[in-house]
Parts: sequence; structure tokens; C-alpha cells
Amino acid sequence: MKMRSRIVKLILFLCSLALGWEILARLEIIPSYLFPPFSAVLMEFAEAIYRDQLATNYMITLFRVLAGFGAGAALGLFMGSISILTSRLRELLYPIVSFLSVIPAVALVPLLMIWVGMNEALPLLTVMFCSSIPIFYNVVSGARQIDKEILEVARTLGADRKRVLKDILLPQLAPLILSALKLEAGMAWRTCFVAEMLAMGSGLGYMIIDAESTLNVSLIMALILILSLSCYAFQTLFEVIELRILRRWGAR
Amino acid sequence: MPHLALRNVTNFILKNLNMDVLDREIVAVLGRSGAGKTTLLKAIAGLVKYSGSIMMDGEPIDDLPPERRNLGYVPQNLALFPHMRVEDNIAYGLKIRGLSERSIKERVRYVMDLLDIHHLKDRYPLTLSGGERQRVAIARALVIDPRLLLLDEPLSNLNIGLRLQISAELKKIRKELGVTMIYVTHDVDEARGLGDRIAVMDDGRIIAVGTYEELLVRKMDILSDILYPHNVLRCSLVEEIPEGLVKVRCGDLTLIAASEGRHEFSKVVIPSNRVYLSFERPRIRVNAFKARIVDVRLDRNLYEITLSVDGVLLKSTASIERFNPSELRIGGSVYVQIPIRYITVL
Repeated sequence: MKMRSRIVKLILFLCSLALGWEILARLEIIPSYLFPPFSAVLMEFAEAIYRDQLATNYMITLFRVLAGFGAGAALGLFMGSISILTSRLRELLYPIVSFLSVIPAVALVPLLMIWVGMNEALPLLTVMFCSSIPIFYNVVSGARQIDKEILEVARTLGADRKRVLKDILLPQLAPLILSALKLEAGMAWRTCFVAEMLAMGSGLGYMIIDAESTLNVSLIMALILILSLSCYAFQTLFEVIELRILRRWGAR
Repeated sequence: MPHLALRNVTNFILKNLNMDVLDREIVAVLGRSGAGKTTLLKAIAGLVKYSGSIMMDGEPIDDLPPERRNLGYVPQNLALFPHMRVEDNIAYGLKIRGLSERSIKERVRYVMDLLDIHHLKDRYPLTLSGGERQRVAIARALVIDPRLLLLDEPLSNLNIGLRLQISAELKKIRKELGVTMIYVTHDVDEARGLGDRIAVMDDGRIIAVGTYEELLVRKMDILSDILYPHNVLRCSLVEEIPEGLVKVRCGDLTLIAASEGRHEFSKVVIPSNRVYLSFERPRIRVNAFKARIVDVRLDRNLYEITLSVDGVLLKSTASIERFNPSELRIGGSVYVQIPIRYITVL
């Protein structure tokens, strides 16, 4: 019920936004080649689908995001878990990762362009980097926040370190990991877009640069819409899982 | 041979601590906050490092990690596993031991029935009330059939009604399962109510051990020193009244006290924190008097107020939140009430 009313509200909001946009553009205060009406954006959108260009490029970008994000999340989780267990590794990695985590992934693209070349590996690596670091960071700093007494009680009940990690720490970190995943899911799309814009000959990011060179504002706008919708859908997916876990525990 | 023996246990808090606990005994460790009570429990559980030796039934356990000491530990914040249902919380220790599904179920059910929490089995800890969480934490510690149950301030976060219930349950558990317990508290009444013996702890050491009465007789200065002053009044018996009560006379002050089966005594002891002050006439008329404030002092976070009741001097302690400094004027008058159960005759 709650979910449904949320969706209705969202649709109403989007509709009024589109209507306002249409009216504003039709008034022709700004020339329409600079600020096309919403209907023109929709037409462009439909045409791109019709030309098969959009679907192909969307699938390419989707694959890059999913693969890069999946690999990055797995790497972050793995590194985070072993760092929790070995304090020496944690002391070594944590400061490095804290430092790396402030680098915007976009700034790495030129470097990676030189190191790996302008090929499929580039967007994958960029996305992977930008998702693994925050997840590692969240696992390790989250583990520090977990009540130490909970871990101690688990020990007195007979659990060795490995079992404490598996039974107590990781499950408790799940909401935290999911909320990191949620933030990074949107970030993965944005990062992939930029990598494609700068260095690739395919994907949505490439399409947007291509549209820019032909001054096709409607298509640029259509692509921006697709990007934001994809980010949103991806984030919502993780948010729903996170909320479900927290609700089950009675935390929300 | 003691069930548990600590010899010269020393670490960053504990200082050459010695202590013996007998089989099936409940020892209440009593001390101010910061005395090292929690650290003592953690040392026994193997959760903090220490030098010296801890023995169970004569065998040193110093080299055993916490998971092999087989002790039940209930920390002050209870530390229930938030991601597990009540039943899984309780079953955890048995699952690790690799017991069969059936025997886990049976054992968990037995403990849940003992603590009357069977109806909570599918709930998650965050949805439970304070008393329910307390029971679940105790059940989780008991289910592994521990050689010793360590309880850290188990009643401190509960209201009075729940305190009574849980302490009754702890007594029932001791009777039914014969578990030895070490029970940490900063409250004399709790220590007195549950402990067979009280071990007074201060600054990382055990400084006195005995029953409450023994401590009052022999170690009064210690109790007064680390907790709050105790009033000791010379008195004589006026008459015995039914239901085990006596009327005693201390100077010009007449008190009603519980005789505890004694017929001869020469003094009464009243802990100063049980001399209750108010500015309105108390509703309970037994042991209620009008008094004059002779002196007010602030010690740590306590007022120490000296009163004159019919010419007899009494000390009362109250937390600073209780009164406004301007209310406690020297020379001002105030009502005093002393509940019967806190008066001990010796």
C-alpha cells in the first residue's frame, strides 16, 4: 500500500514536471534548438529506440555497469572481510584506502586511458575501482562500530574468530554494506558514463558526446533522462533490500 | 576446594586480586563504578589479558581462549544478536557445539520455559522490552550449561517491579540448575538480596568478603567508605511487636525495625541512602520524623546531609539531581522517612 502510493506520487510529480517543461518550451523564450519541448525529447527517444541504436548502446552500458560494479563490490567485500580478521592487514590497508576513497573516479580515467588503453577494460576498471573502495571502507569502519560486547558474548558461547565473522559480524554489517552498495550503484552509472564519454566508441556516454557534436539537444536530454532513471532504479533496488532486512530485525 | 579461585590476578585495572567462589554459590561483587567489576568478569571469561591464575575446580584455565572456558556471560548491555530471532539467539551456543537439531530444540525449549519467554521465540531482540531482553540474555548464557554464570549489573536498567521479578527468577535458576553465579552490582540492596556472600571491590582489589551482616559488624568502615556512610545508633529494645517487628529506642528516637529473629541487640544500622528526605509530610507514617538540617556537603555527585532528629544525629545521602542546593538550607526543617526493611539490628 505504502509502496503504491509512493509510486503514484512519483508519477504525478513527473507528469507535472513534463507538462511545465512542455509549456515553457512552447513559449519559445529560448530557441527550441537549445531548449526543445518535452514532446520533442520523447520523439527523439522513440526514434533512437526505433533505430535500434539506443537499445544496443544501453545494453553495452548496462553490462559495463553490472560487471564493473559486481566485481568491485565483491573485491571490496573480500578485502574488507580479511582486513577485519587480521589487524595487521587492516592497519596497512585502511589509511591507503581512506586516501584513495577521496579521489574522484573520473580523475582516474585519463590515467587508465594511458595504462590500459581505450578498450573494454577501461570502463570496467574505472567502475570497479569506484565501487570497491567505498565498500571496503564501509565494511572496515562499520566493523569498528559494532558493539564489542556482542562479539565477546559470541566468543564466550564458543565461537572462534572465523565463526564470529561469519555468524555475527558480516550479517550485522549487511545493512551498512547495502547502504554503501546503494550509493555506489548510482555512482557506477555516472562513472561509466564519463568513461564512455571520454574514451569509448560505444555506450550511452558515447551517444551523448555524439549527439553533442551534431547539436541534437533533444537526444542529449533523452539520454540524461535514461541515465537518471537507471541510477534511480538501481539505487531503489538496494534500498528495498536494505529496508527489508532492517524491518525484519525491528530496527525501522 | 573452591569451584572458582582467583590468585593474584593483575592487569591494567585489577591489582593482585584474590577471590574464592564455592560450588553453587552466588557471590555479589559490590563496588562503585570504576572499581574494576566488569574487568574482573571479563578476566574470568578470558576476554581481557591478565597475569596471575584463575582456577576452576583446581585446574588453571588461563591458557584457554574464551570459547573453551564454557562460562555464561551476560554483559550489562546484554549484547543480544540483533540479526537473530530470540530462539536463534538462545540456540547459538548449542549450534556451535554441533548438537543435533532435536537436542538443540529440546534444550532451548527447556531454558525458554524456565525463564517464561517461550512466546517470544520468533521475535527479534530490538522489538523486546527491557525485562524480556534480560531474560533472553540470561537464557542464552544458561543454555550451554555453563560452569559459572557471570552477570554484569543485570538489574540496573530495569524498573523496580522487573527487578524483583528477575531476581526471583535468578534465585529459581540457582535452585533448579544449581549454577554458580558471580553477580556484579553497585547497589547494596541488590547484593544483599541475591548474594550468599558479598565481595566488596575497590580500586581493582577485593577488600572484604562476607554476608551483609558480617560486613556490617566487621567492615563497616569499608562499606561506608566505598559506598556511603552508614548510621550506627546505640539502642535498646522497647517491645516486640507481632510479625517479627521490634520497637527500639535510640536516644529520644523511637524506630520500628525487623528483628530477623534476634532478641538481643545493642545497635541499629541504617545506610544513609535509605534515610529519605522530603519537604512534604511522608504518606507512610512508620519511622517518619521531622528533622532539622545541621550540615550539607557535596561529595562527588552526592549530597551528604547531617540531620538532627529529636537530638539524634543521622546522615542522609541523596543524588544531586534530587534537590536544588537552595532547598537544603542549614537550620531548615525537613521530613525524614526510613523504610523498615533497610534497618538492620545487630
